[in-house]
Amino acid sequence: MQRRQFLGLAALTVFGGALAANELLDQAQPKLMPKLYSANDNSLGEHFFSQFDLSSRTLRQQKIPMRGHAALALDECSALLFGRRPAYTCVRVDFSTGLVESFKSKPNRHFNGHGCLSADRKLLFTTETDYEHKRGMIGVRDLQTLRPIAEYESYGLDPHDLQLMPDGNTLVVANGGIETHPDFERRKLNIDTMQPSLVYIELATGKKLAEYRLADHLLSIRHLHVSAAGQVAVALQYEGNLYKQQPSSLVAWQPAGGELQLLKIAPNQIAQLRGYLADIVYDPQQELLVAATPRGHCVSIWSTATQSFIQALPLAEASGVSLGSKAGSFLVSNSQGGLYQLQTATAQANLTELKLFPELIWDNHLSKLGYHF
Amino acid sequence: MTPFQQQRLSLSFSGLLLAFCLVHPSLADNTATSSATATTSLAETLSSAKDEVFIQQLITTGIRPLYRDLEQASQQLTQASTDFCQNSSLEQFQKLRDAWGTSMLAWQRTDSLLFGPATAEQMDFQINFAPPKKQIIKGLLASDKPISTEVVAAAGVGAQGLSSLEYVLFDREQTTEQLLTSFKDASGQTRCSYIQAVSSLLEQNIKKLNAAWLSPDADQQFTNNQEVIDLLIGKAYQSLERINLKKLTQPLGNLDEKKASYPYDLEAWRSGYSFKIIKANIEGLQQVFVKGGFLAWIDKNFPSEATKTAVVSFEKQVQDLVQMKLPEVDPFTLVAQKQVSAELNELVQRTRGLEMGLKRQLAVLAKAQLGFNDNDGD
Repeated sequence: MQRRQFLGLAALTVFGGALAANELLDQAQPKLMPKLYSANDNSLGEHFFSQFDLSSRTLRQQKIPMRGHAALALDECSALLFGRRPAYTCVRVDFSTGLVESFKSKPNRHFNGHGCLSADRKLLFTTETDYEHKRGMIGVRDLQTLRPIAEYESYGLDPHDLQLMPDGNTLVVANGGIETHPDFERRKLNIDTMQPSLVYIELATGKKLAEYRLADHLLSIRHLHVSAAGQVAVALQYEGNLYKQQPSSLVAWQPAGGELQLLKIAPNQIAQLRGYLADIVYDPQQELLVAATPRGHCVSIWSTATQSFIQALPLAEASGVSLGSKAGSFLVSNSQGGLYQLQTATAQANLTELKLFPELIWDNHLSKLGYHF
Repeated sequence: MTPFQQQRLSLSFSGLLLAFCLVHPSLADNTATSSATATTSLAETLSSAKDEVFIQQLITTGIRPLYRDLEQASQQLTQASTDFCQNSSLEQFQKLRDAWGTSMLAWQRTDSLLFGPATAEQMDFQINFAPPKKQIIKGLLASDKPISTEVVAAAGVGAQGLSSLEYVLFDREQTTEQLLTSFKDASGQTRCSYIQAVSSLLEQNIKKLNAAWLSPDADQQFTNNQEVIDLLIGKAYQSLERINLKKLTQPLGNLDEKKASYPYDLEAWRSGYSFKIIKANIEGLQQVFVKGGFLAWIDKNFPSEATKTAVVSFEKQVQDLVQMKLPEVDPFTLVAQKQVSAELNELVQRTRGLEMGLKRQLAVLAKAQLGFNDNDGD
C-alpha cells in the first residue's frame, strides 16, 4: 500500500468515529478507582514496580528483577512492566497478591521497553531488537500465558514505543533508528547513519503499510501517544552534539490522514529542553501535548492547534506524564520521587504536588488506569 | 477556546523569562527576581563561553599525562610480549604479566575520560572489551598458523585488548608453571603470536588515542565551558557508578536476596587486579579533577561557601581513597569465600560516598547535566 492510500484509509477510519482501542476498552469496563503504575528505583539501586492509588494516595511497591521502563495497566490490580533496553526480562505484577510473573526475551532478542495490547486484549506486542541481524522486531505474545507466538519486523532499527491505532488493526511503531548491541551495553553505534522512522504495520499480516521520516535524521523517533481520533504525537530525542547545534524541534505531530510534521519552537526556546523528551501525552479537549523533559528540568507544553511550543514549567528531572483524572489536568512524575498534578485548564498552567516519596526515583513513563472525566 | 488557550499570548513574555531560568533550574521559580535573573545571565555567559586557558591547563596537566603513561605502558607490554616469546622463562612470564598489569591500571586511570577520542569508533572497546569472547580466542589459538595483528583486528573487539590478554596470561585452574607450559608446547607458538599481535594492536590503538590528545587542536574536543562541565562530571559520575554497582555491589552480592556473592563478576577476576583497578579509576579522577585544575576552576567560577566546602570535601575524599590500604587477600578469594574485610568495607563506603558527593554536591553546584533517567536517553 502506498503512503497516500494509507493516509486516505487512515482518515476514513478516523472520521468514522472510532476511538483509540485502549480508550474504548477502558470505557467498556466498570468504573475503576484510578491507579498509576510506574517503574522506580530506590537510592540503593534496587528496582521496583509501583502502583499509586490516586484516590487514597497510597503506594504499593513490588520488587522486581530488572530496571523497568514503560508500564501498561491491565486492571485495578495488575499491570505489565517492560524492561529498560537492553532488557531480557519483563514482568506482570498482581499488586493484590504480590505475584510477579517474569517473561524472557527469545534468544538473540532483547526488549526495548514498551508494549501494547491488541483490541481484544488477548495479544501483547513488544518492541524488541534482533541484535545479531541488526533488525527491529515486534514480538507477539499470548497475554494470558505470556508465551511468544509470532513476531514481525519493525522495518527499522531500535523500535522503541508502539501503539495500537483506533482501527484496532494497525500498529504504529517508533523506530528510534539507533543501532546498539548488548555487548556494548547502551553505546550508540551508528549515529552518523541512523535513520529513524514512524512505521504503520498491519496486524493481520505484519506488512508495512506506511513509513514516515523526518528531514533531520538525528531526531530519534521514540515515544508516541495515539489519540482516539487517530492523531499521533511523537516525542523526539536529538542525537547530535547539542553544544554545537540545536534541533529544530522535539515534537512531531501527525494529524489523522496527514503528514508527519514538526511543531514549531523558537531557537532560543529549544535550547532549554536540552534535546530530549522522555514521555508525551495528548489531551484532545485542550489540543495540548504535555511532555516530560528531564534534561531541561521542566514539563514542556505544546499546542496542536497552533502547531507550536507554548511554555515550559520548571520541574527537576520530570520523568513521566499521563492524562489526569480531571478534565484539563495531567499527572507528572519526576526522578526525585514526586507525583504532581498539572492543571492547564485554568488561567495559568501550574503544577501542584500530589505526593512526594523522597526515597523513590521514578523512572520514565506513567501508566494510568481510570478515567479522564 | 479554553482559558488556558486565551492566556497563551500573554504568557509569551513570562515564557521567555522562564526560558532563562530553566537553563539553571536551581535558580528558577515562577517569580524570578531581578537578582536571580542577573545571576542566571552570568551563569549562562560562563557556560556558553570557552575558557581557553583553563582548557589548555586541563589537557596539559590533567589529561595528557594519563595517556602518555598509557602509551608508555603499552610499549613496554609489546616489548615484554616479544621478550617472553623469545625466552619463555618464568621470569619473563612474570615480567609480561606485570607489564600487562601496568597497562591495565594505566588504562583504568582514564576511565573518567570516556568521551571524544576514547569512544570514537568504539576505541575504548578495542582497548578493553570485557568479558572477552572466549570462543573466538580459542578459535584463533586453534589455528596452526601464526596470528597477525590483522587477524586479531578482523576477529573483533572480543579477541582484542587488555581483557583478552588477561584471559591467556592468567588462569585460576592452572598453576603459573602449568600455564607457562602451554606457551612451550606444540600450540605455544600460536599462543605466543597471539599475545604479540594483541599487544601490538593495543599499542597502535593507544598511540592513536594519545595522538588525538597531543594534537594542537585537542581543545576542540570541548565546544564551551558547559561541555567541559557536563563531560567531566558526567563521565566521572558514570565511572563511579560502574565502580559501585558493577565492580563492588554486584560481585559482593550486596543487593542479592540470596546473599550470595559473585566473584566471577569482579572485573579482572582472573588476574586479581579487581581492587587495584578501582583505585586506579580514582587516581585518574584525581589527575583530572585536582592536577588538571577542574576543582579549582569550579571553585573560582561558582563562588559560594557551599562550593568551597564541596570542592574541599571532594578533593579530600579522593585523596583518602587513593591513599587507603586495599585488602591484601586476593579479591576473587575474598569475595568467593565472603570473608569479612575491614578494608573492603571501607572501599565500598568510600567509593559510595564519593559518588554521592559528586552527584549531590559538585554536579548541582556546577550545574552539570546529571540525571537518573537521561544520561543516555530512552
